[in-house]
Amino acid sequence: MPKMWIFSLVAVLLLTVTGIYAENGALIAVALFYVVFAVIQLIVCRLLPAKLEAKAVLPDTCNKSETVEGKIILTNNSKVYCGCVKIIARCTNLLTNTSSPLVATIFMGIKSKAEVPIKFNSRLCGAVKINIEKIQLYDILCLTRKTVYVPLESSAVTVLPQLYDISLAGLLTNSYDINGSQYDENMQGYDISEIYNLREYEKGDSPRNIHWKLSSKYNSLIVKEGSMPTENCTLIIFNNTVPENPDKISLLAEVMVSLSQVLIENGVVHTVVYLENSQPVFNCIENDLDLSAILPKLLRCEKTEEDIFNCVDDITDEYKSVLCFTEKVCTTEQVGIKFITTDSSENENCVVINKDTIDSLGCIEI
Amino acid sequence: MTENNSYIKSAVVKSEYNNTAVCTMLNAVVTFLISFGVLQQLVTVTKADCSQVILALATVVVSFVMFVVGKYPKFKIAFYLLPVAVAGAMLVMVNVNIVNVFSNTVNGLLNTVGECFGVIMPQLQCSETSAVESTLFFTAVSSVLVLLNAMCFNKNIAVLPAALAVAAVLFSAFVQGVNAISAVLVFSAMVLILYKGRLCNAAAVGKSNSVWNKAATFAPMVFFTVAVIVVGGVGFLNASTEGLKVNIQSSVDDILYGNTASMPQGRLDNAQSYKPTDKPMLKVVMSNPQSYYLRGFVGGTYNGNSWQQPENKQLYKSADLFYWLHKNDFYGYNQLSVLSKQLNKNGSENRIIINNVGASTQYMYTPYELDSCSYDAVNKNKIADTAPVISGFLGQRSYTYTAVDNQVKQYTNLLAGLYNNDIDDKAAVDGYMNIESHYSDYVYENYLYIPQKAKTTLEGMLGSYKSSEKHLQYSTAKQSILNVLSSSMEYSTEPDKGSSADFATAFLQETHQGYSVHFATAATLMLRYYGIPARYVEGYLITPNDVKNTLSNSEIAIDDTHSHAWAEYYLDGVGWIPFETTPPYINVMESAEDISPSNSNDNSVSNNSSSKQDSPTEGYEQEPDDDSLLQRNSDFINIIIYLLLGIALLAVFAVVFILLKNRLKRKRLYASFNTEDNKTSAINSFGFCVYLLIRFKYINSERDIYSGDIIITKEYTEKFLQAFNIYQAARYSNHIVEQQQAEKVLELIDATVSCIKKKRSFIQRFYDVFIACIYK
Repeated sequence: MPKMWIFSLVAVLLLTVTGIYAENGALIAVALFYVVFAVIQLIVCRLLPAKLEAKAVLPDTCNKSETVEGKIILTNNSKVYCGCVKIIARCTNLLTNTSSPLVATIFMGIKSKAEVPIKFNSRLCGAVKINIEKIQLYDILCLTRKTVYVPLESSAVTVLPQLYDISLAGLLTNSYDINGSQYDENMQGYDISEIYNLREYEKGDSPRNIHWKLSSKYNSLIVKEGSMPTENCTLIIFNNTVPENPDKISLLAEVMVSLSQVLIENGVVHTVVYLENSQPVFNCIENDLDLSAILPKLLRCEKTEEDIFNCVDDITDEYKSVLCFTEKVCTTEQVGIKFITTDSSENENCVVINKDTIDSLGCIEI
Repeated sequence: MTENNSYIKSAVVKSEYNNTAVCTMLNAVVTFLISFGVLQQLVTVTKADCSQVILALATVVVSFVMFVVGKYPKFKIAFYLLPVAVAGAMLVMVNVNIVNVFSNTVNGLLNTVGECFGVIMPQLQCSETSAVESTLFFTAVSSVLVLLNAMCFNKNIAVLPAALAVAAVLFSAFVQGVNAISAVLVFSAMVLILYKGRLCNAAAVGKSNSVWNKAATFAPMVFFTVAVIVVGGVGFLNASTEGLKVNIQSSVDDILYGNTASMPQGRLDNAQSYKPTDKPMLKVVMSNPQSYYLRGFVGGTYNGNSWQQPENKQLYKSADLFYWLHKNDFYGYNQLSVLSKQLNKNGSENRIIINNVGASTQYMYTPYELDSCSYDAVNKNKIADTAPVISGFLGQRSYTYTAVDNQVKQYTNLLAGLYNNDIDDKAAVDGYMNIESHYSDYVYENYLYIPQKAKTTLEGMLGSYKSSEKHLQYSTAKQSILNVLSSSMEYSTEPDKGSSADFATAFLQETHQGYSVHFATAATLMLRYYGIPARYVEGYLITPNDVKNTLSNSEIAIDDTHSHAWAEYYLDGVGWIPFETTPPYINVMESAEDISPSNSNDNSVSNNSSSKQDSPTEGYEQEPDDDSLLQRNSDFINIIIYLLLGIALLAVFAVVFILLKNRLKRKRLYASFNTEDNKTSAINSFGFCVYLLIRFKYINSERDIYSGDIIITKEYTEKFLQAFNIYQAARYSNHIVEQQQAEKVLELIDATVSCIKKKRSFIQRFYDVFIACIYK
């Protein structure tokens, strides 16, 4: 609190000069006592360190550009009078690697609790976390200062990504393993080698789907419906290394989540892989709950030199469709991977996306 | 990590405390304290005669009413108008005398500055003003101060007026001396500002603090504030700080100007021993090498433990006299040369160059025979009684002046010449005597004081002195003093320190030992005891031995062993003459009369107690009429007024120029919306709308228009989207833009402006339309 420090110093100076010019020793004594009191409090603070605990109360999720309100609760468990407390915190979007400072000043007494109401608003999706960088304790007159480091107990707030319409031309067929033996019990599919259901012929049904044996038996045309194969043939790679452009990484995350959502709606079980603690983490996504569960960890960037392509190089052959969402296209030759990127590229395996195009077309073609 | 607030914004929720009644009252109290504190100091500095009670009441009323009224949005305009109205009403009541009141205030301020720096300040022509008029004027000033403070509070920059108030109080303390009440008021305001922050946050904290915590928070500041108010008002413990200001000032002077260690520069407590070194102090070049007393520090006031130079405040009381004296080229430090030149037109001139290599640069070392000096180094407007006052923050190291031949050794001739009716220019001499008589009155008024303790000591030593004459005969007094000092006192360079608090008493009654400082102090007090105005002087001696066989214009090195202290007394009609009483030095310098410790003869010096002339004489201006003060109008004040007028005129021109420029810019902008080319018109119009939205914070940047989040009203949003599409088509496509489409975009401008106007206050709208010329 530089202003208050200067303020108090000026007050002391005023008293001292007044005392000198008015030849009034008591005023000088008061000014000295002013300073001595602050120093005593500082010494007490140093000898008996304040036991501070900090906790943040925030919602779990929110939407983009929505103002989120929460609070930081600071508790002083010691018998030391804290006086003026300055909390210097930072609100960080872990995906886009952008942050905003948060500074609050409160007064705390002995064995007391203070609540600091805060709010934030993130324009981009991601996981927003609040960290306390340091806490500065001032005496009541703000002349002396002591810095303490207090960890903040809090979980990240997931700023939910915006979902887009995804057109999966060709992708769906490649998402199924023809030789696979597992099928969805509840969902109709395309694979007629495994019958999902039998019904009467309706106009428009393909003649290939007619079950001739049953049709002859029942004297009416019976059509078989194919089952939905559930083998996990699709791998989605999200390159969540530190981004260069926050808007682009946010857009990629949104498109990736939108794609995953569309696949879920189409009953396509798929795997999402991203970096966590410099290691690739594979998650099988079968339904919405699986997707929701990984979102808080997915929407974070990883500060690592590791290249995700190297990590998953051996595994990509096991999947029929491999999609990679990345800000920058991999420079090394990657066969069989389709890149969805925000960087302009002439590579035929790349799909370049940008916000303007999405807004104008209304959907994304992958 | 990127810190970019366009991606993520975070903030602490502001407490609702700012809108509460307690906060409003606190703001009002702080405003009152700061305004009244500064006002108190202004009244003190300008020496205005006002009713403090009325000023306090007016300030309180305006402060509180302003803040209470300001809480209601409908009356927000009254927040600003009220103090302006009060100020205007007060000034109207003062009516035509407002210029007179203002002039008196300025004169008071100029007098205060003059007292502080000892400079003759010009005065505006005006008549006396009544207490009522002064009170009304300062009530108007207090209203303006309240308004300025309140505006700062509204903008949450409360620290600024408090800081300015502190600066004003400290500056006033330096110039005039502090008004304890104003310091206490400003300090209290600062404490409350500190606590306002605490209270504002208290609401955010909620109920989590116990009563004990709150008490612990408030207790220290309540204690401090009460302590300051009590001690500031009662003022005990003064004795412990007496002299602190003087000591601090002395220390600062030592740092700035250097210190001659062998001489105490009037601080008699430091006169422990005399151990001069061979270090050169002055390098003197004379065109006509002669022996001189070079005066440095001159002490006029004795307080028992120090000699102090005549205070600026004391000198300024006789500012009118000195103005008239200086106008007639009469200065107390060059009387001998003036008289000498009048009596002896053929006297020679001695050009002296001083190079100060080791002595204090605070003083200009000049002889009694000083004639004239280069005014580049000298502040001519300074009221100087003892020596020319040199300018420069660190003093002066080198200066040149002229002097006449040594008159100290022949001052009796000067005295004789004064009363010789056969001299050529009798009229000039008579004129001189006329002016000198007024200066003599000043000298007798200011250089005869002896503290009681010293007086008692002198009575014991010299016997009780009562005479019907102004003072004892000079020769008798001097002989008596020399006899007493030579017989009873012993010269010692390391004298004992007596137990008495009074320096002279300790020397004369206890130790009987001392060096030049002791003897000079005692001699000065003894001369005063006999009714002869006298002063204590420290400086350097250029002895006859120093100049013996010295060629003209050759350098004479004056080292620390030449430092000396002596007494000087005022010889009526002639001026200041040195009086040597330190035994080893009595016969060092040449003197006019043969007075030695054992010689009691000499009646040649007559007691000139009535040397005043009654009638004015040619060649000099008429003596000042006691009944009317001379108004010191000078070119200086005219220059200042013209300068201020010039600056005001320039400011007005600048404002007018900026206003016209803004208007022209807006005119061209609006013209670009109505071009024949519909495409250009649409693009420009839409661009202007986006500019308005960004400027008035409806959106953060241009990117936001693509997000579709601009929701002011439903109708506006529809118009905006329509105009946006037209803009896109005009900007990025080859489509033709119809006249109707261009008009739709123009309509958006009006819609935007009307939305903006709804949210702006009257004054803000006035500013937007007529000053910043943003929209029509």
